[in-house]
Amino acid sequence: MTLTVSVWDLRAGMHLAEDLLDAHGMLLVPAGTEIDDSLIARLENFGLEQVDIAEPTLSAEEQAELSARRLEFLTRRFAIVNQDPIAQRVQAAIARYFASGAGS
Amino acid sequence: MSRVEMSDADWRIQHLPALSEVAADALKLMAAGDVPLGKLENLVNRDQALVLRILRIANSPFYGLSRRVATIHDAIVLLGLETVRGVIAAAAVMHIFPDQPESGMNRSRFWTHSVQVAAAGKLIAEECGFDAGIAFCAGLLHDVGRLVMEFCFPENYARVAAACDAGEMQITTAELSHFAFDHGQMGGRVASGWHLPDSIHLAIAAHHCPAADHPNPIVDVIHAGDILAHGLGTFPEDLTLVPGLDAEVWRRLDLGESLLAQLLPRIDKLSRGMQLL
Repeated sequence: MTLTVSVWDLRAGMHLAEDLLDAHGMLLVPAGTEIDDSLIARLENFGLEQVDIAEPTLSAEEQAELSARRLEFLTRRFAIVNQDPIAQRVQAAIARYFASGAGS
Repeated sequence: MSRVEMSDADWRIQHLPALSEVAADALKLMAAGDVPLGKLENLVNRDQALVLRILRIANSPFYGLSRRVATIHDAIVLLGLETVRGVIAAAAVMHIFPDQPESGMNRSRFWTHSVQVAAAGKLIAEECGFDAGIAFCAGLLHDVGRLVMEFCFPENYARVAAACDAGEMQITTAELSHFAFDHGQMGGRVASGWHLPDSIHLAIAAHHCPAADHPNPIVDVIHAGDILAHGLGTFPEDLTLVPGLDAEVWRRLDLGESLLAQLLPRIDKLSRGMQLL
């Protein structure tokens, strides 16, 4: 999965999803490079607006663990309102979304 | 520590730093019915930091525009006046209430949540046929009262923030245990001088307590958007409790299961593509 972010929103620790080429097709920065502050400054100097960032790929096990953790904290966030039938519907919809493995 | 009364707050509000001159003039200009675009552009162009922030948002993947937005003129045309109004007000607010190292409230999560509510408000408004630009603007600004409370009473608000972060109390409950008012009331008072459209002002003041007798679509949309955003959380281990839901709002908006299922990933994706800070 990749996420397009504006150069302004780049943060150290993210990874480039694709090779960055200059106008002549020369490789500037290869895909997979970890972004640090000096690279962000260079990208700004290149006049780039947006960059595709690799979303961290998780193993099936890690993904299951993350989903479980998200669902656990989702339940805790709804602790006070969980007697409300509408809140239950909203919580269930978010739970389905989290269980699907998507989400931040 | 004693409880903060509204009279203490009123005195502090009068001594808040003012909005920047450009932002204040721009908001005032936009409050008039027929906005002279050329005049607005010239005005905004006097504040380059503001220009940069608007262009940055206009060029963020949030809007998915195919061409680069390079001028305030293009931004206004492409984003619409309401969104530009929201960005101007949010930028001005960030300037007045900058992040402080000793701040008890995590500012980056605060703005993440605000952007989530703006995204949710925009999408729900589009589905329901309301003004999506106004909803976006209202979402960005809906919790401004929290920033004011923290700015004026940092020690008291640090306790509120700690109770919220630990999931001990809902935000308004925590506020009312240290203050005689909550962030809706505070936000409503402060924003009343900002020349915002009534519905945005109302959404800031009433997103936790929508009036039963005078429903307002933007208040409804922000109330619901706030619930969805708190439900999603700003990070996986977010413990901030979901606020109480107003059954009438949900009945009016009629957000069914399939629409919710469709909205949640879009809210999540849109808000991740845009960071204000």
